[in-house]
Amino acid sequence: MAKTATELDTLVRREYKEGFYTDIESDTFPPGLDEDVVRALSAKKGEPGFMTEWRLEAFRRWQQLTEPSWAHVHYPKIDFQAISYYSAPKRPEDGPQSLDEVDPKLLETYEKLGIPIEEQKMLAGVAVDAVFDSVSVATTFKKTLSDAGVIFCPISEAVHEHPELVKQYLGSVVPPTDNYYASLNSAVFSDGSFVYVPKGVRCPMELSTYFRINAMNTGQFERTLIIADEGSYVSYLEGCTAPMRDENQLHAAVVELVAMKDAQIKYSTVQNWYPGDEEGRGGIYNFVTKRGACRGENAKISWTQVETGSAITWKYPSVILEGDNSIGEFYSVALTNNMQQADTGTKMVHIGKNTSSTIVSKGISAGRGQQSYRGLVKALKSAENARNYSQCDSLLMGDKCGAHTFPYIEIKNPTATVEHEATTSRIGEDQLFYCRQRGLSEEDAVSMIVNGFCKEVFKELPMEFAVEAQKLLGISLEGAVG
Amino acid sequence: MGVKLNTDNPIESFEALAADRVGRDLEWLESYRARGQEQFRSVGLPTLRNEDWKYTDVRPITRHDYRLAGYGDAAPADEKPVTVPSVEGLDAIRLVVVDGRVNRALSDIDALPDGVTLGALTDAIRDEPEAVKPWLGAALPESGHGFSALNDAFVNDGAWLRVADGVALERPIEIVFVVNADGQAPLVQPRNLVVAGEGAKVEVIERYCGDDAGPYLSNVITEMFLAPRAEIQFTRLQEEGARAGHVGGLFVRQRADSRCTLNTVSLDGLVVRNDLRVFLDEPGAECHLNGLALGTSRQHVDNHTTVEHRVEHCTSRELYKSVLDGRARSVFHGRIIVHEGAQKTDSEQRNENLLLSRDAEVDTKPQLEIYADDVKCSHGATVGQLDEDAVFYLRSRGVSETEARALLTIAFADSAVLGIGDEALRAHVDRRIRDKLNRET
Repeated sequence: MAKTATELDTLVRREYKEGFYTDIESDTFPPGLDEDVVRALSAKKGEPGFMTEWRLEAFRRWQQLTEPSWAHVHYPKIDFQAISYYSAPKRPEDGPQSLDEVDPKLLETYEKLGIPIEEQKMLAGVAVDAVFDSVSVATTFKKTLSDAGVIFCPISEAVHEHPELVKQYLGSVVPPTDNYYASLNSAVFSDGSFVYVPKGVRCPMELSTYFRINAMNTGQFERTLIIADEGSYVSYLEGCTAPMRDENQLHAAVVELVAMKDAQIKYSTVQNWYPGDEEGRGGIYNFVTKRGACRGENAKISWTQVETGSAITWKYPSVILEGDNSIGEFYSVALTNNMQQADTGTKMVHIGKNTSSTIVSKGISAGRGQQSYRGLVKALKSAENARNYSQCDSLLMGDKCGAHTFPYIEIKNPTATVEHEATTSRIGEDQLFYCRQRGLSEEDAVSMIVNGFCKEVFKELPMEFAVEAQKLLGISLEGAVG
Repeated sequence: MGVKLNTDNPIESFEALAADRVGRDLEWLESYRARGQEQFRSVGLPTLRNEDWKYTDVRPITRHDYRLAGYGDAAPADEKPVTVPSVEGLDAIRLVVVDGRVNRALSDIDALPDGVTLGALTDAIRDEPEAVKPWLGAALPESGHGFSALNDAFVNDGAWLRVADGVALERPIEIVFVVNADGQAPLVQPRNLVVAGEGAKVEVIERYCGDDAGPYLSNVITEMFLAPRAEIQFTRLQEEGARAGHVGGLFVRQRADSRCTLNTVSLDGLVVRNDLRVFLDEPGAECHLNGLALGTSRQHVDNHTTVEHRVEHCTSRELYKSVLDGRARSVFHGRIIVHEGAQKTDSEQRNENLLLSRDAEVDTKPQLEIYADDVKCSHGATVGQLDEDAVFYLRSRGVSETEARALLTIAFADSAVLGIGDEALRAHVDRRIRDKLNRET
């Protein structure tokens, strides 16, 4: 046993595989934030007047807000004046027209990540809108998409080319006044993706974006806006990795989804940012606001997330169920190892009649990781026959970790049916014993049991992602039991 | 002359009224009160902005002109006739507390079994202060809310119960708290101490009653201590007046292999808040928490429970239910905390809510905070209405719809009071549930 433990130890201790740093000259603002920075940022991106005003409004609001402290996480105070609010790869003006024009160093970066864009073109028909340090540098499969009428572009481009859509929907789900980090994001968001799927269109391929945080000390503030018009369908994938870094990097993204009548949005995330070293040094602060609104009847929004990275994760993908018969789903696997902390969950707000929501949250806590599920299920008076089912299970590995569950349930309609269940336990000795006795190594047994524990969530992921997620989980967990 | 808790400074205002408090010469007691005052000054009364009071607005019970009761000499029983409502068939050793003062004449404590001390806290402080000192405040968490600080600041009378090592009582101890609102808006703040010795066994029943004539506020704290292998079967039955506020704290400390059952039944009152906290301090301790909140019209019942597994090998079970009609609202906030090192913890918590009317509301917040790995913890919460299949089944058997619904509702509520030990008391609670639900449906 002792021997195995050492072997496992080495496995646990191995360095973050994706920790590298691509040296590209960045066009970066000096650290600091005031109205002038917001104006300069807006000017830099050549935004129309309404956007500049919108950002300034958000900034003024942000100044009045105080940093929230209710989450079950601990970290040193963030100095927002020490962050640089803009950084772009060197050649944003002559934006690359094809992959050949992309800085080879960027391609190298992607290759190191094992996600070569050229292969992805063929692989499963995935269009990649890659965000590298805040400015999108490569967009593929645009033609196929535009033939279908789907708009998939960086949001900075959408501001110019589809201002009416941006004006109508930006901030309509997560208003700039929503919370501290959403206000900050609204004021300084750098770039992100914009998707519009017109009426009755089923998006011909899975859309995906890879976010990376690259330059030193550059908080990245993505803004994603996805609109699925009546009767349309879109599946969007987001995957993240980040280079190894000593200083904490702040990441405060906002994602807004709008699903109109009969529309369906599936949003999947695999997040594997640098979690910090074993002592908790470095690592990303991931404070994200994600929210979707089911605006019409029979709309459906589904969030699936696999969170294995970041030093601190603070994120609650939510669904506002306005339309009658609309559906909200949340499937999550979150893993904390070493000193990682995660406070994550969802909010389901039932407003329309016959709305239903499902929450499946699997938390795995190892090492000295601390993990919380925090969720809200709210049925307003108008939510006739609202239905919710929540299941939050936690798996503990090691006597120094923690798993916490904070569900909030607020019901104002007597016909609503809400169920919440949560369990916390460690891997059963008998299960382990059974696998060992069948000739599996402890490592494999643990991996198998954990993957089984998370199966409900993985099966919601698109196939390629499911594979990646299982691998990630295996890597992050190896040796956590011993 | 009264004091409005929300606008006047109750500490200053009550200072003069509480001048004739017991044990003014005891330094430890006075400094205990001073700490309570200090605490109240720093936290004040809770508001909706306070996370633990997010769903409970206390303004309806803090806006009245309150008169501080429970000081000076206990009012002689003959001065004002007091009716002490009794429970049919309940054979118990009875202590009666009227308007915050223990009333000997109405009590039945002259012939106590060997090894049992039961009486007024004021008497105990006067006669044997050293016996009280180790227990007073010892079960309270470090920082309480404004109401518990207020109770601390004016601690004076209440029940003092001690059961010696190895004594097992056959008859339950019944402590009845009666308030004569009488349009005077009294604020009563009893502090009760229950100390069970090693291997002692006792059933304790607390009943809170009052008249409907006017507003009053019961701000009570009971502290309970279980020595190794002690067993306590505890029921708090709250049947306050219709306009009353009830803020009830119950704080329990359990040592090795002790066992307790805590039943909290909230039937009446306007705004009710129960804070229950159990510290499982030594291995092998076990606790069972049951709660029922029955709300009608504009009643508001808020149950906050915390079970702290501080060491290994402890067990806790919790079942809280609420049935709501009219514009009633119920809040449940249950926390289970498993401290670092509390391995082999076995803990379960359930909260079930039944909504009978369109305007009723439920807010529930079951929480698990776990810092150990070899544990088995679960919680569940449900909100819903009666099962239509079950209603249909009964109707197909010839039961009228109204009756079928009443039956199912009562059955739902009943399961939360099965833990009550004394049969006469359980029958009384059953009757009250039936009456109340039938009146509504």
